[in-house]
Amino acid sequence: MPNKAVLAALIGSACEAASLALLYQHDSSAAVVGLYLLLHLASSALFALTLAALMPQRYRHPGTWLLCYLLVFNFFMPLAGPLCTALALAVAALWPKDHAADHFETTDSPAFVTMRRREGSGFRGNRVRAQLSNLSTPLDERLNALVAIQNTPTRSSGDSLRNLLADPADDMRLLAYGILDAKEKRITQRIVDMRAHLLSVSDPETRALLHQQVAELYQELIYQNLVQGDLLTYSCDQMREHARASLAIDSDQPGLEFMLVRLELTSGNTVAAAAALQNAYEHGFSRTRLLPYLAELSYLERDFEQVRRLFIEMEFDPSVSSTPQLHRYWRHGRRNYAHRPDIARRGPT
Amino acid sequence: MNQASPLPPTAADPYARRAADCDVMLLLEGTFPYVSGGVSSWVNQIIRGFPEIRFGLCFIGSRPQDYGSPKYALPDNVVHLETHYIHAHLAAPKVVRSGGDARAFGRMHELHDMFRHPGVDSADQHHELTALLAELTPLMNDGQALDQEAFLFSKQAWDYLAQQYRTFCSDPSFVDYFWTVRIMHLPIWTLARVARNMIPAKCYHTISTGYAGFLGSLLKMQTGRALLLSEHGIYTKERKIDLFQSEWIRDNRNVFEKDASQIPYFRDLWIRFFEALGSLCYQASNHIVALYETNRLRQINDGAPAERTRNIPNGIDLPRLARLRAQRPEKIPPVLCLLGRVVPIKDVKTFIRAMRTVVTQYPEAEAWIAGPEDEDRAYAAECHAIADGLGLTDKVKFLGFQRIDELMPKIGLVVLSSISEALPLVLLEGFAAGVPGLATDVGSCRQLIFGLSEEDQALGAAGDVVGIAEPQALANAALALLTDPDRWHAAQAAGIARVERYYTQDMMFGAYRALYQDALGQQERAPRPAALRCPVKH
Amino acid sequence: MAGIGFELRKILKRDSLLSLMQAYSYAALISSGPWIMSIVGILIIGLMSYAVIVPKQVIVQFQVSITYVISLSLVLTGIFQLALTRFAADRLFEKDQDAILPNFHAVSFAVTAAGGMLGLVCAVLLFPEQSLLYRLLLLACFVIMCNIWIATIFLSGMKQYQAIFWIYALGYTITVLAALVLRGWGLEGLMAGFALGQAVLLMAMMALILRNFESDRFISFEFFRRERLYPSLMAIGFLYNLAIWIDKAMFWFTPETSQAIIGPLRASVIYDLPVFLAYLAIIPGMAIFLLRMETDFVEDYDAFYDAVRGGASLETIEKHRNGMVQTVRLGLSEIIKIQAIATLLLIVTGEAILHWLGISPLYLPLLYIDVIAASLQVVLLGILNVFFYLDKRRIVLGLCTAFVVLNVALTWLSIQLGPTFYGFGFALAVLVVVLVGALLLARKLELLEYETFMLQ
Repeated sequence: MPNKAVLAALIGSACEAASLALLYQHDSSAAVVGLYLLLHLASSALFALTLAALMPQRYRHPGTWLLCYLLVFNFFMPLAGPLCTALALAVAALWPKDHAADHFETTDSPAFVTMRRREGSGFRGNRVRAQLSNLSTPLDERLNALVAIQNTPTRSSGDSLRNLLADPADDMRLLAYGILDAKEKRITQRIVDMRAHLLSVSDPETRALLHQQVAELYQELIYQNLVQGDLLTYSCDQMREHARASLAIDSDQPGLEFMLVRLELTSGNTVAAAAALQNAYEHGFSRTRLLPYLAELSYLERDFEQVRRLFIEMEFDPSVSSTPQLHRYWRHGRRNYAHRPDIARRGPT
Repeated sequence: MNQASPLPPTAADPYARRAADCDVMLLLEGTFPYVSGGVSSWVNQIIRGFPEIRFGLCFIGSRPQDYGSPKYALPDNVVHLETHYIHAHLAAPKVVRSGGDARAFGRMHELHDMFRHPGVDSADQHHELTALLAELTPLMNDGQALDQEAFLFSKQAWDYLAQQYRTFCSDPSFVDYFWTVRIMHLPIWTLARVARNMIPAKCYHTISTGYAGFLGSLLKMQTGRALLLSEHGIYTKERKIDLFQSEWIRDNRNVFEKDASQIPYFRDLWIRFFEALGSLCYQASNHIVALYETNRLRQINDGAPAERTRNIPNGIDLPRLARLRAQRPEKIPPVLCLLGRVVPIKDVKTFIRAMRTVVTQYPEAEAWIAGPEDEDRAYAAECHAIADGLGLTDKVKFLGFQRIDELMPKIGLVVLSSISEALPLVLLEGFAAGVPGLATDVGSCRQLIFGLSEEDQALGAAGDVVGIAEPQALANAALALLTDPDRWHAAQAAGIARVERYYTQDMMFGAYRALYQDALGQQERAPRPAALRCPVKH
Repeated sequence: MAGIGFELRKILKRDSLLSLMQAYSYAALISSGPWIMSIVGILIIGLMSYAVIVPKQVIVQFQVSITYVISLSLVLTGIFQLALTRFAADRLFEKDQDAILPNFHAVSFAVTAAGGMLGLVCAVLLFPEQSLLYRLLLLACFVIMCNIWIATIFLSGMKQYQAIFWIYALGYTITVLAALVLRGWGLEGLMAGFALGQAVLLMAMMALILRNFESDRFISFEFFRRERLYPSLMAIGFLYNLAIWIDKAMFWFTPETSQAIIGPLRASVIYDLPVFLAYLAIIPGMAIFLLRMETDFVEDYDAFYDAVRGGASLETIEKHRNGMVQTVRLGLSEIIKIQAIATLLLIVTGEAILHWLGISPLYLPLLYIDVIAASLQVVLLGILNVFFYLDKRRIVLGLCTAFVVLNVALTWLSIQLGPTFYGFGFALAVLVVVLVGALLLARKLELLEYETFMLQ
């Protein structure tokens, strides 16, 4: 507590004591009243200064108004004023409120709402497809059906939409085009933005991340069947380029290697695929998840014995999914190879 | 909007034009002179083609901030220009409570019923509708029983809204329904006010249905003067496609309620609203003009009385373009040119992809894309990227906006790979300048390239037509035309013949002159009195 | 929605007779606790000092001084009470918690300064015969009371009912003890004791407020800015408190019905006591008010507005509106019923009670009419509360103005007409205002959806 405050408190107390003494005089003349008020004013001001010094930091401003408040408080409530303020501040400081409870609110449980529903309505997926392909359905119904598949994943609806681009009805064409375009735009917009961002950023970690994200976006385009023909080749090239760029900066990205694996296998580049598989495995990707891709690689390399061995290996691990028909074919119905599980693992090269 | 003494255009503001009256009042929604495009250019052409007619322009837009400065200079025979914005609310209207006039609202219920259940006999229905409208329109003036305040604040309006919600709305949210209805209807009163304060004109010519068409119907009812409608694209169809794709329409049905094959109620509401506006305009118009036959049939389908419809295709300035033929070189230039804005609807990407195949087989070929790129910058950036990615950076040239006089002699084929077109003038301009066309099968392209009537078809094929978004087919057709001189010259001749026979500017002007003379010459007819007919449906 | 409603509902959910009684008792304590404690506290001080103090006149002087202090401070702070609560509620809604404490201090500053100046002038000029100490204590009590009302209304606006109850319990216990200890010093001693107890009460409230509301500044005057101020609420607060006290003031300053007690302060022996006893009889009505109005009604009200804004169907919105109407109807009728029972009980046992308390049975007729009037006042409180929730401030202002005018006119008339009609002035005024208010409320609730949607 600064010395000035102590001094003010002491003088203030003296003034207040003096003014109280006056009160006991039982003399109500104007002079006494005046003197009392003066002394009391002085003591109020001094107490105000003391209290202002005692205030927690955050309450110290606005300074002048604070002093006015304290002065008025002390003046019109003799003795009680300063004591109240001081004690209130002390209590508030010593027993602060626990605000943790504020973060929780009570709510009611939700109620199930019933709403009128027309009889016989309901979404039937097959009906929609049939309506779309049947040209003699009334145009309005076909438009409704088209809007209905708008929100289904493009992977499954993409073909229907592309077929509708050649539809004789103008409305259908426009709408189908609009839907496809919107889906494509959503991804390409992000690609454009991210590539622009890449140009401006130089920090290698961020660049690696951005390259990875651009590669993933291209993968999304490919996966959603939004690109065909030349554009597909173009997108594949871009994806490869960006994935490689990201791996060049940070080679410890087994996820990206895995992406490359799938890309190269789809494109039929066995050498690149083998390299990517090796990298993925070395950086910690689990071999069991790579098994199907190893099998595909071996198939592309026309090494069918290896394919068979890999399928047998997959049998023993139920976490790797593949169709039972494939298994049966490749194992010729055998559960093991020469009566024992094949331990001669070729490994990912 | 005072009707004081005519204000001539000053040097300071050439767009400040005011007159006391005019001959033809053009009602333009979102086109000339603030928005550039095919329709605006056509309006410009028409105004300049009739220098003896005094035109007034009434531009209707959504909000002032959506439009920049005017894109066209005003011809001298435009004596009056006024602009109105239907979605700009200058000040929140002051709340005035009222009970509402029960009788007037009752008549309004009948009007809405009529829209909801179009009768079998459309001529009969049309009389009733017009009669009812004629009765109700004066009530929309400020201070009358159905004015904007009554719509916004009266108890009757509330009761009707609540009743309609209960009966028809399948979306659970009432507050969305309430605001959708309000936002939808408010422009109607704005337009009624515009109609009331409009300067007198001898006839009205609206370039679309929608809100401008509705304004036209109001003016027709108010003054009895003739109303002409020229539709380029079908407004209702375009709004419908927009609405189907729109993300801003809320669908509040939860997973249990949602039936994806039923379109969200609010979308349906907007579509029906625009359909009603279109139907009103068709009924009110004296003459309805379409650009090509398919559109005319669609208009009839949407409720236009067939006897009032006709086709007046766009025409091009033949003499000016014919001169360009002389500037052509001997050899066929190996240049494919897409003239148009770089926007998704023009499907520039398919064109670029097609070029990959073309260039592989015909290395001297080039592709020119002559059109502004600032309307959809992201799309333009993509196109550039694709061109680069396919290795066509030198072969595909983005020229920006070019004047066709300089461009036409240098190109060998006008290509249109659009997803949707009406009557593309670039094809006709190409024909007139001696360049065959290669287009996708949209709008009237087939009609232009192969001909409509038997006589027309006998003139030959002026190019080729392919399917939409088929780069391979596009490439093959282009190669077939460019590498076969006989075929190319035959197409050139067919194009020139067709354009000279059917699509010249003079023919278009001639047709419109006849229309205008008929419209201007009509005596002012008194507004149709309310039909003395029992309103109760028997 | 934490707070009192939640607690009450928790108790009621147990769905037994005991839990019902528990809920009502809890509501009674919370709603009526504070002012019951003040009335009872003052009475106890008087009763227990009777034997000791000489002259007996001093006790009456003490009680009258305190009554004046309470009434004048209520009327003065009435200007700020509602406006401050509304300000705080608005800031909470805007998630601007930091603004609440500084503006509370601003209002406290204004009240202290205004009340203090007024009190100082009155104390210096109006009490020439009294000792300086008495005048000072009077001033101190007045200013402390003003601050206490501001803090109480503020805290109850923040729904901290339990805290208020316990602080009042503490405060009045100390008041009574201190007064009894200091009664040896006569009037000044009693006043000093009272002042001490109230100061402790004020300190506890200030501590609670400082603890619960943090801020980055101590005092700020946003409250007084034009756009944040609600002049109608200020007028309403002033007029409502004025209406309640004006009839008593009229009796105090009519020569036939009053006596001079100390300085310029007068009291009316026949009128004052029954009125204060009557306020003790409305405890059950206040309990129901809290239970129905502050809990059930608020729930339905919140549900209604959530349905409107949250995209519910019209059926749901109407269902909640009907719920609101139902609750209001139920609440008001229950208040009337229970108060009717209380009145009847009083009519039967009144004489015995007065005899036991040592009060003359001549007060009985006045007591009956005062209880009826007080009961109607609770009904009025319920109606006004609903109007506040619906934010129909103009209507409330009209009703309060009418209340003041009617009270003045009818009280004056009753004074002219003689002792048999004393008390009817106030009762009739409340009755008329209640009837008008109920009619208006019914109409507003019927048109609620129309007004909510169309007349934004």
